[in-house]
Amino acid sequence: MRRCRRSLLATALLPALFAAVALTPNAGAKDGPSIEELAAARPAPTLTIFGATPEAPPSQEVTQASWDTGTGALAQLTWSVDGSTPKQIGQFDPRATVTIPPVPDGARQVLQLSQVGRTPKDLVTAVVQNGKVTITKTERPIPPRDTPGWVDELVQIAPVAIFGLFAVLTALYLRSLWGLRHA
Amino acid sequence: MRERASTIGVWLRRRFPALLALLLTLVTVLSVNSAPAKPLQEQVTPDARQYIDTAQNIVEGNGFVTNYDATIPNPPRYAPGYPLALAPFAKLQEFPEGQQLGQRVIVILYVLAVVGAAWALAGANAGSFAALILLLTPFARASVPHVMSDLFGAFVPLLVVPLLVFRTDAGDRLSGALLGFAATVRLTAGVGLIAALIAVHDRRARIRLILWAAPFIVALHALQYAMFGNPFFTGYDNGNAGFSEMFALRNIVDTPAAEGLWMIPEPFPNAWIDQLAPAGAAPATGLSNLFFYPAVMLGLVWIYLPPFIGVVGIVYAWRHRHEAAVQYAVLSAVGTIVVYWFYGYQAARMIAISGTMLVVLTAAGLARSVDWMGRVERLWSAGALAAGDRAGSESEHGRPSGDDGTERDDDATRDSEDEGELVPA
Repeated sequence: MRRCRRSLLATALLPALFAAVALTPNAGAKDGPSIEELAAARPAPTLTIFGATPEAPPSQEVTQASWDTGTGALAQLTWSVDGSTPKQIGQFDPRATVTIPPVPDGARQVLQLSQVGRTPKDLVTAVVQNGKVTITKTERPIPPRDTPGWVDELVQIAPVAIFGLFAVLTALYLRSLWGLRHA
Repeated sequence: MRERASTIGVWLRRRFPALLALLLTLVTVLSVNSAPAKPLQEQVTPDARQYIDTAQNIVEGNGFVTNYDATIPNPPRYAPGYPLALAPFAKLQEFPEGQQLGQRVIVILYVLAVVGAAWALAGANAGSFAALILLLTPFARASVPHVMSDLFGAFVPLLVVPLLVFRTDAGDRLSGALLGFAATVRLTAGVGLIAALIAVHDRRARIRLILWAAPFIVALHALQYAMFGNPFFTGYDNGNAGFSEMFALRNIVDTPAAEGLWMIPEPFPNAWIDQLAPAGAAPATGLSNLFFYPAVMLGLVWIYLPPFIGVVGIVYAWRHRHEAAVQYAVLSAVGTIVVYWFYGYQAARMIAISGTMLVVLTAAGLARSVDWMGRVERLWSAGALAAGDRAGSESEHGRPSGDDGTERDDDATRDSEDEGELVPA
């Protein structure tokens, strides 16, 4: 009987805890735009090459590059010379300024800003040669979705099914423990 | 009256470890719960925003999709388990408060699960130490504002630890279902199922684990087939650098893309390890995966444990290596680190399962140390009595040693000491 009371008390603690959390001020933070507004207003990443402009004379050296993804998303810059294997410059960062190693006159440098393992949807490429820079932005479209409607309906009831299954399995486990204790 | 006060005193003394554990757990829960939520525009991009949005779409009947990347719904990049767990909370409150509440509740349940797992392994003192460790480390509290799957991905496999301590057939079924579900939360959590299959030593239990994990894993692949036309094509492969492309042998020793510690800041930054980062780079970056993840486990990066405390857990794991729960915890922890050694993106939160398991083992190890010190003290008292009383009555007062003169095994004494606890099957 004592153990039964204790189990009931322990069981009652969880809903009480849940209620306490739900009633806590600042449990959620609703301020701000919706997800669609955030997606629509998402700024494009920028890549700036210092020391090189479209009008720059050929002798001018490229010395630095900086980037800003604009969203806080992390990105990396890779650099290659005359078709060599791209090498990462700097760290994975939402915004940074890095130094570019010197190259022989006339060499063709390609700097590519991308979010590693994330969205190369907004990819920025800078081609630098003879102090002149050309920047292109690529948008890789996300493949269209073609999921049958009944999958969406199944997904909607999945949380209830999963939580229900775990509730039943937990009850069976507790009953088996109870049986073991009183065996 | 005096008799009643004495009875209460005796009850309190006997129940002191359990009461202390409950008190420390309450303090930890309150500390975790005091962490403020982050508004949507400050959530991690794109991970957290996608999780929040996907949970909302599930509740609204739009399917497993997100509007994050485009105005039309698209398949999310991440596995479905975590948004499915957030979905009931999304129903409770308005967007995105429900999902934030869900994450808060999950973190609190995680605290209770860590304490419970340690308590199951080594008694109430272990529960106290587990709560204390969570209070002194930032992982749990820092996980409240970020609606991210890392903590939930550690919480689900953690629930298997007590189930392996107090084993029954029904417990094995529940373990299998939990591990199957864990694989739908984070694809790499499949390591936990392998760990459990190794840790349980009988064939029937292994079959039970596989059978109850299978529906979740089959459902995950069926969903991927429905969305992408290929059961092994994940959201990562859909318009992104592929999931498989992110795993490479070179990542073990190279310096991979590193997140640093901005999401889970250290309470006391380790100047030594921060100096290893390249000039101008964020702290704890610029390290190879091979070095970084063990450094996190050792507490050189103060995320899951204070520095070097984890050694106690490693010693405990070695001494109790024949127990199924300990084997499972160790194999899950090590297996997860090995998987992330190959991964091209480095972050301490990635190995939340490993860190959590080590917290549990360390708490159990610290509790054992306290038990051991108590026994030494009792033996010392018995020895002093024996010196005073030549009749030699130490066996009546002191805790006896084994027949061979060595110390008795901890487990043999624990169950008799912790009155009211379940007896392991």
